Amino acid sequence: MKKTWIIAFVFATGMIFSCENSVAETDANEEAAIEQIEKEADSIEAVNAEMEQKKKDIEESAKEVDDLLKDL
Amino acid sequence: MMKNIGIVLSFALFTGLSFGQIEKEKIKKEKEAKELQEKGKEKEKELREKSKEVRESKEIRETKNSEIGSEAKEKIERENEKGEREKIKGEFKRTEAEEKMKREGEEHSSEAEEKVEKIKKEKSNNGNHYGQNKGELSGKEFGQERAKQAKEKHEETKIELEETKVAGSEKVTEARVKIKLAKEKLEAETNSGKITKAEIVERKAKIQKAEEAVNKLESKIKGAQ
Repeated sequence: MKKTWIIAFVFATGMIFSCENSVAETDANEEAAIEQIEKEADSIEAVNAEMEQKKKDIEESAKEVDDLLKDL
Repeated sequence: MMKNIGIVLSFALFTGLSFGQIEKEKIKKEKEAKELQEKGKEKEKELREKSKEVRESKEIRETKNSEIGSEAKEKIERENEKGEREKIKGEFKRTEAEEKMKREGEEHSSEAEEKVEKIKKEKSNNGNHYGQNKGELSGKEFGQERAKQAKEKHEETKIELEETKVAGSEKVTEARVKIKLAKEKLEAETNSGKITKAEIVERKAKIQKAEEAVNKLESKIKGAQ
């Protein structure tokens, strides 16, 4: 009887460890996926900011041309 | 003895079930990641196609603008030869051509505006406060939502930039015509002796300044491509 309980205990401990490892692995994968998505969002936002700046520059130049044309 | 075997068997069963569940979860996660990747690729494709469309429509508009611009220039040259009366007529025609040009540009830009409005309507949140719903969402969901919003914003910005570039190109064409007219007028007045040397210098400087500004605008438009 005692022997059986020892076997069961060892078995259960092993199970718990293997489950913990699996959960940790899943969490790590999840974090990597989130990081990847965040990186993607960051790069898109950077491109957006660059495009906004270009748009602003063109608008300013166009306004400058307009003002100078009025003087002609 | 039978009792012991029963306990061991029940543990084995429990272990098998647990492993099965873990494997299921793994497969589910892998599936989700694959789906995400596929979605990302599809969106990228869509974006590329849309930008291609915008570029093509822009090229068509540019060729139209240049044709209209060259027509206006030819008219102006003919007017100078014929005399003052015809010059007035030509100017009238030129303004008509410019208006037509503007109208065409507005038509194209209104299409783009409609697209922007559509995107805005589709958006369920207000503005770009990416963290506003974080409390209700998990880390992954929040990240996905943020990426989605960034992509939507990207499309919107892209369309707006294209519109600005088209408007800028139209401005460049219009400015070149006006500068040419101003040059010809100055030359005529200089030859007739109607204006003083100081006035000539002043007006030449203004024309040069305007030319520089137009070149600057043109290079900025090219730089944004």
